[in-house]
Amino acid sequence: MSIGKTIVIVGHYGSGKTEFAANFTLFHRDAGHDTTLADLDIVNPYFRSRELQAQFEKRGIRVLSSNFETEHNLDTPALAAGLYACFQPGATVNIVDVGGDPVGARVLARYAHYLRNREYDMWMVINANRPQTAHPAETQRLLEQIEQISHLKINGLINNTHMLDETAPEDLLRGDALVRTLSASCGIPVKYTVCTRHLIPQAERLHVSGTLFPISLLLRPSWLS
Amino acid sequence: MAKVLMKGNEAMAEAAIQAGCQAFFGYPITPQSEIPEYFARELPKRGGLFLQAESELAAMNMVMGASASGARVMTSTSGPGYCLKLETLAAMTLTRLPAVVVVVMRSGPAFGTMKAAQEDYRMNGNGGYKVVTFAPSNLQEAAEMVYEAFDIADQYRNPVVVMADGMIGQMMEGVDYDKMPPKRTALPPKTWALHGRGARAGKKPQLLFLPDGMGHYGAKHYCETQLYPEIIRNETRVEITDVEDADIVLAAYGTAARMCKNVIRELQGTVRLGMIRPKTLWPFPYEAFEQIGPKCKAIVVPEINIIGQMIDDVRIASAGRWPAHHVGDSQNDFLTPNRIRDKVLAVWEGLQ
Repeated sequence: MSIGKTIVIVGHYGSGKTEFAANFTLFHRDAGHDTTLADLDIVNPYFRSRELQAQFEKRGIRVLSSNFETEHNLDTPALAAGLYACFQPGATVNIVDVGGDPVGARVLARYAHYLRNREYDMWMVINANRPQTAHPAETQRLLEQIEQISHLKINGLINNTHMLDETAPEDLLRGDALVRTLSASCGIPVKYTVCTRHLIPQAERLHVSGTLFPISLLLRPSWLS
Repeated sequence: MAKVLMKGNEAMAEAAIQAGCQAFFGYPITPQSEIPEYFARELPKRGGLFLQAESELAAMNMVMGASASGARVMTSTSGPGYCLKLETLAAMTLTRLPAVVVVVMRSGPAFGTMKAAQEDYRMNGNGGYKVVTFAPSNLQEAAEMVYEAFDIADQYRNPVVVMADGMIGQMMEGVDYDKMPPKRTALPPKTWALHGRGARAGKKPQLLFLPDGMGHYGAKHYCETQLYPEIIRNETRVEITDVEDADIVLAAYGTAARMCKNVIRELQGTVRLGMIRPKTLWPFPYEAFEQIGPKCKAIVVPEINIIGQMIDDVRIASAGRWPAHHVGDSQNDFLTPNRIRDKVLAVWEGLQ
């Protein structure tokens, strides 16, 4: 059960953490949960969860990030004091979207001691079409680096292998093979296989690991397709 | 190598390494920091040198030094850093040293904000020099342009700039490195390069900044009267779409051109739109505008800035034949396809 839990989303940059985190937030909100999306990304300038703030707040979702950047678009890696709430026990589902790579995950160490003595989830999003996470050994090294720098443990893998509009079932299968190997070598289960909604009928026939999780692209502007 | 999903900055860095870039000197600045990060990780593994300098000034002077020793060398920055690099860039055009400079534009003036922008179109150092300036509109193209930039720089002994807006640097897209442009053959040997005192064998220093027999002014005169016209003839790049029977022509580069393609699709059946997309900002494709057909009534120039910069070149190319209308950022927002569509429709209604 996710209520009162903190779910931290980490991974390589460009792996689709923010699209997953944003869609997962909507999924919980639609299930009627009191949901918060925390944007801890202080390494990226664009395509961050905070861009969804106005849209999400209309749907009753709290979006927390920095109290500076949202207003001024400045390159200040500041984090709002309210972010602490996401790491405290309570009645809300807290989804924490973290910046990419170990460098983006470093910020978690600041909050790690709040989670250490209670149950939390930390899931790593993996896209096997990203050159740095195309092979199990490299991906495992990245996983270990993220754990080391964040002082937290990853307990779920998410296969988010895609090639944007050109995604084919083969992409999902390539990612599935990768996360299965990784799961076997590091003992971390595969939680979800992610794909855009229109691919779900094809994906259902593939018997990929974890639960199929359909998403819509919330951050990518439609004119980029 | 199959298509891989890349972030724009990574895609350009990887293309540079594949083009034989041997050294990178830079200094971090948003929204291009993934370029030095990529080089820091990849270049030493692949036999090259990465060095984070103490400033943009230092980095650019290191680029000049490495180029003088004959290396393929690159740096990257954003507007504020590009200002600092211009003095050395100008010096490299005078001393005829090749290099590649990637500029990922953000909103200024000065440190400005992190917002993506097309505001450095007119940014130049002193002295009337010219450098080929590429303007990519997608990541495949960004990678190809960086790849080819090294050959162009070596061919003419003149630096090449790749000017991407922040969106190009930060967006994700598939890139196929099997589709890089062909390597240019018969590039002139770098007989001028410095290889150390031992390599001189008692002769004069190898690095001749100026072509033999020419004084400073002679070299400058040669560049401006012969080299630059040759580059204009050979390296002007443009994408021209449906301008022969267009009612209105859109002229845009980079991400703004990308938005235009959506607007053209959306307005099909309402107004006949063509597009001129400069892929090189210098040389600017003035001649492309000669292909515009007799039905054209106006040119709309969307740019990610407030009052327009490239629009000046569009007006020169138009030579009074068509009015040129700017559309850009509003008080609160970046240029959007909707703003372009609304501008096109307003201009179209005004013509009825």
